[in-house]
Amino acid sequence: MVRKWGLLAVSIVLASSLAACGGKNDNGGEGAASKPAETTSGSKGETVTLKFLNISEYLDSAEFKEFLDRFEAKYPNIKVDPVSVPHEQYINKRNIMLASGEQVDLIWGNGVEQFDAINKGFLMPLDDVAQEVGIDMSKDFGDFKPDKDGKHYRFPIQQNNWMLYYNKKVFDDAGVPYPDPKVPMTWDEMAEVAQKITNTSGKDKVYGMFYNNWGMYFYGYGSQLNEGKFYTDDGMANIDAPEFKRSLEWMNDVMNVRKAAMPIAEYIQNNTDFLSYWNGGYGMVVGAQWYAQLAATKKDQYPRDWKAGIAPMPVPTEMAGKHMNWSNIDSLAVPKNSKHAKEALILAREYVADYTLGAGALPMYTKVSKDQYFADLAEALKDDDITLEQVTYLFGGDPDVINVEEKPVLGAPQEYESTFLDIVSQYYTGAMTVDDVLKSVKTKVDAAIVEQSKQ
Amino acid sequence: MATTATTKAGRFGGRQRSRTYSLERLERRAGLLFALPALAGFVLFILIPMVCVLLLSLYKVDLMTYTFEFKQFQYYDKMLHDADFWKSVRNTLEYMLIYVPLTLALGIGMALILNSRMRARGLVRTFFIVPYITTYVATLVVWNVFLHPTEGPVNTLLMSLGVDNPPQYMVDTHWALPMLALIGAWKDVGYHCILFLAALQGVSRDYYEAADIDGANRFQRFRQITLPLISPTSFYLLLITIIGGLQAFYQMALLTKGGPAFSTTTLTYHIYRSAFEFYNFSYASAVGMFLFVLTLALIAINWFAQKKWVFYQ
Repeated sequence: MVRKWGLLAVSIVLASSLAACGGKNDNGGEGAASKPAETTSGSKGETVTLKFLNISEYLDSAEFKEFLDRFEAKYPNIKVDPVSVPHEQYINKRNIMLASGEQVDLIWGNGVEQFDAINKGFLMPLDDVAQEVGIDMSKDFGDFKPDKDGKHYRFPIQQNNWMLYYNKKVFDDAGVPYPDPKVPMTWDEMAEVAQKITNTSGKDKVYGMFYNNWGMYFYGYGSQLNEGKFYTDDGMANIDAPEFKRSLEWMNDVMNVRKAAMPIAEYIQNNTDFLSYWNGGYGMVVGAQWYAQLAATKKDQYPRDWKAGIAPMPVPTEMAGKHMNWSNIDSLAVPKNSKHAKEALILAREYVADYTLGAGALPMYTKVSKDQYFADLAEALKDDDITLEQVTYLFGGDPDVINVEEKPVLGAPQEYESTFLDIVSQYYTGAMTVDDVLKSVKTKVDAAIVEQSKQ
Repeated sequence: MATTATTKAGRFGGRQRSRTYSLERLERRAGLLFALPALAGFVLFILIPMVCVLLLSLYKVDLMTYTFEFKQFQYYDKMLHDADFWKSVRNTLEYMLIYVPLTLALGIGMALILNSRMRARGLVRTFFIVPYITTYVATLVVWNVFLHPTEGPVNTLLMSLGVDNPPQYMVDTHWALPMLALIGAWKDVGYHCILFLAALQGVSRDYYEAADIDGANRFQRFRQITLPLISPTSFYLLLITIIGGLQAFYQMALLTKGGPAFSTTTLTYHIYRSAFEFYNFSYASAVGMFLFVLTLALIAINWFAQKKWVFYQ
């Protein structure tokens, strides 16, 4: 008898676990994924709560809280539940939420993260829902092309505008003139200046150049040279192209030959944060508008007794005199299991038009005034003697700027970036040659691209 | 009469048996009731997730729409042809090759010291157990500072001794994994020490006195008396150290993120990365099943091997 009961209990457990693991939701399925859910909650007067995942640098600000108050007053039927995750932990948290099917309505991501999610089928195409909230995805964001199969999956927030930030005190102490505000330095000139302003002899080390352990700081110079050709014509990794090799070698020259940047071993083991530049121990850094948005204009959070300057991003000698930019679009997206896609896009629209602008970044949304943005930013940076003309030129107002891809975003972008960063340190510590590093990255990324194409 | 007596005895014996039988049933029921909470926990938190992982390794799963596509053994095939998988197997075995013997040897060594007559034994015992009771994150932060390539005390000492290029531990493919194994051993050795100490204190002094009379030296006493008599504890600790070694994760996740150049990506970190960085839950589940089988195999080998070296009194 006991055996029979035992057998029955085990059978129920197995059956329930099979059901739990293998059940098919009647409301889901492919059809539901490709067609956004009907959202009539607003019209019925029901309150909808949106879960909004974003990095804490954007969600924990006073400006965001003020924006939320304005938004919820304007749309009393839509409540927002912000899920704030620190930048360094963001990708893991985001991946876990998406892959486990957790209900999220709006997620922030950079190009790599969003394209990775698009390729893996986590996101919803937005064109139809966007029309319901009065947005034309192909017209309202300037020259913003469809992401995949003629559809837009990303709701663009802002395009990164890269430039050179520099610490005027470090330049003054070294007796070196400031970079030209309009004519970019070449990378070779930047290396020379970085070496001149480096002073690591004292107690407080000053490195001429700060960098982040992100791909573009190593291969970005190469991207400027070959117009962001991260993939070969047949869709495989092009990281072993000579332009990228030259780019990596330039960084090696600055870091290990000229000793003008922190050695990578030290950088990694220090867990260096991307905002560390603003502690004053560095001369120059290449960074985008987020440095102004998150640190330069926030002296209460990043107090400093030195003035910052801005100049165009350095360029290769072949492109001397040209204003170049690494183009990457931060965007919002709606996971395909969101039940409130329409409300999510209302929030997205208000986020770019109201919050993004108010928080110091120029949205790609063309229905907002750029002039006010430039004026506000120039006002916030006036203590650094940064003029409206400089701000307009470098923060998105130059129509002649040459944009090249900031990162690889097509085939297996997450694997591409992750593999590159895992191996590249071996070149800078002298454990591998640059050719071996690039060959090794290419082999692994090609395998990931092939694997992804099978899925 | 004899027949009647037999019948009575038979009846009496039958009642006895039925009473004994009902007592047995009651005891069995009570036993089951006592075991029920543990059993429920096992089913809910171990059995069901295990079955789910097994199923996940056979299906392509989309948890957003709850769609499942049966893929047979495709993810296992991919696993067996994946160079990163084999590298993670090699890293795991290399990690264990350092971690397991080091933890056991240090554990028993420290226990022998604490078992001897020494001053401030309680204080020393506290020092030994502190790493085990400290949170992993705090421990790893300290080690990260300790092994800093330019400003850490280890390399500062090495440089003061004339070593021009001391190791860059966490970004050097040759050093990173051994250092993580060393940190793992340092963290866990306190627990081993406590259990070994308890086992040592359970060994009767009579054996040592008899050995002294026979003229045994210190090593012979350790080899012929101590080791055999604490062998059940050694066997238990060997098993949990093997399991712990196979599941090593914290150091990799917090200090090296599996790098540099994949050199510290163990099986558990490979599973984590496949699932949570590259969204490939089914492939990660296949690797998880492999890890489960590998763990079972190593435990089975040791289980059978114990007959030759474990002595139960």
